[in-house]
Amino acid sequence: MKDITGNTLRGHLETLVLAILEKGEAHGFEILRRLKHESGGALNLKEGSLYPALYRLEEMGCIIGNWEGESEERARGPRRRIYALTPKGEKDLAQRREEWRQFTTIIGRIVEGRS
Amino acid sequence: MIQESLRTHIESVVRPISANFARKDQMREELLAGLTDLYEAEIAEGCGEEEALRRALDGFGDPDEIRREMQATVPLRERILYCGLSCPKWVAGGGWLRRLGRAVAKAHLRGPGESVVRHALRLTGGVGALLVVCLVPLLGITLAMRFIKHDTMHRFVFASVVAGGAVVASMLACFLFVLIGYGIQNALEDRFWGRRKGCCRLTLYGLLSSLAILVSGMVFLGIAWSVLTFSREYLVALGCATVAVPFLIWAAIAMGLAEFRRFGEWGDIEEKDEGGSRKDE
Repeated sequence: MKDITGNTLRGHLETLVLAILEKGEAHGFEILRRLKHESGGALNLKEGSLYPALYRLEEMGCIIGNWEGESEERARGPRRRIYALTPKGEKDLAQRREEWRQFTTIIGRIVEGRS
Repeated sequence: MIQESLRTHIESVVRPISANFARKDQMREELLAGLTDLYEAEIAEGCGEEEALRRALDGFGDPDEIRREMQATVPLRERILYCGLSCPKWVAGGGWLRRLGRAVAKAHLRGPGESVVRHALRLTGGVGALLVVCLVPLLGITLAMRFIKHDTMHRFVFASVVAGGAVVASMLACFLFVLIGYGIQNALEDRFWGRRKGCCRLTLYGLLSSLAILVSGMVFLGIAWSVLTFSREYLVALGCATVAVPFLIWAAIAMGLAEFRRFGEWGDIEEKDEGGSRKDE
């Protein structure tokens, strides 16, 4: 399978992050790891491009980030920020899912010549 | 060495961003944690250090592109306010200022594994020492006046008692404020309050410094009164200044704490960057 890179994902990254966080809170690297795992290795994102998406979602109030505590595994290294979905994020994800279904239905119909 | 390379890479992304210092600190720490995770994952897969570093930096992405995207997440008013203030050379590059910043950061921040009480005692000692350094010259002037103006000794004794009392009161206040600060911080650990924790801490630092400065200002006023006879207007002006200065100092400390912390952790990178650039040239 051909790798899906950042440019192809542009515009959908936020939705993917929300969907990943729906399954449980995670830090940046963990989100990336889950994305790769769930796509069977096809999603080949650069880690740095994930953080702007996280900041945008946090600004919108869809996710909330908290620094990991001192008792966490890597207390002496740089702290990670653990992100979790907020109630607003859950609503937003539901809306994005609906839009995605419409999008794939309409575009799929045209691209695959089913119309 | 590897950690330095990772930091340098992150700094090359974050430093040019126009944003407030606290936001940039958050970016630095979070990106560094992410890049370190990436590096550790490569090491876990069996890569050598150099190869793991190369692959981690490659997997992290193009710094210019990440910087552009990060910059776009900063609110417009902040971008305008901090435009051009991303890295003043005189701040980051000055050797003595950097050393001072590092010393201040080391002196006031809680060290790894340091207990709350020890941190409070350390800060208390610092406040006490600072006040003593400020007050001793004033007491010296009071004592000198005793000989110059053939003044009675009681003014010097009065000033000494007030100054000593102020030092003890400030130290006690400092100790209690730090403990109360930690208590409030622990009470606000849940998710809702987590984001406000930093603001609360800075406010407490501000209150603490305001109190210490207010007390020392009043002591200064008392000593000044005991030495010279000021007009009432001058005393009122001095009193106003005594009240206003703590708020100005509070603002400076609130902004400065974040910046000093940056000095301590990231200050060296500038030189390495410049050195690297020179070599490249």
